[in-house]
Amino acid sequence: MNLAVPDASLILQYFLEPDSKQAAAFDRMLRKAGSGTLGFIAPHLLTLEVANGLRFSQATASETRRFLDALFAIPIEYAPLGLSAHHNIASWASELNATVYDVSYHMLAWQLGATFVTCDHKYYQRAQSKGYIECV
Amino acid sequence: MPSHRITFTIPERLHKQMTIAVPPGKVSQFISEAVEEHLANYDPQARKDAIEAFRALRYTIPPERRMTHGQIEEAIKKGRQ
Repeated sequence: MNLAVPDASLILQYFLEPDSKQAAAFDRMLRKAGSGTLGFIAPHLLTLEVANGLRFSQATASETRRFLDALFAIPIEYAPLGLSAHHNIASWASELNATVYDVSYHMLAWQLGATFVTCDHKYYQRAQSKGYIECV
Repeated sequence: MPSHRITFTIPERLHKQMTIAVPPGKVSQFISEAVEEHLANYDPQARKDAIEAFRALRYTIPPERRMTHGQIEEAIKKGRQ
């Protein structure tokens, strides 16, 4: 099974910009996950960033609640990032002039041989040399 | 009880955690119990149902309240400041 690390913007696009190519890409990933050919793994940060994005959107409180309920129900493994990962994250963030938040997703993918799937073109441009990343 | 010897690959982080948590000589028992517990809770239909429930929410925000990619990126960044 292939393993993907989705970033928060990919998930938020699914709800908040559902006609986008990014939402379509995530829908394809969801269908693969449903058939058992793709697995999701993410840092714990993912759910907080999605919640934060919803908080600054025009989603109502009940919509936000429903989205979070549905997000927590889908099969995403939430992986802890240990000390060595934090050292690497700090190093990459400095090297790439990126935030530790963005790098944390990418580092998890790098550690596991997974693919970090992001909508953030700016981060992708800076970090694609590290591999284990796809921009949709 | 008959048993089978198998070789498998696990992520390095799991291997490290297991090495710390499980005494030498108890790894096979630990793996067997973990697999047994996981199989008891593994329900492919529940997995599919959860994903379909998630997919059903895709178009529930009306167009006038949707956001652009740039606005979504900004919303994420607001929480980081």
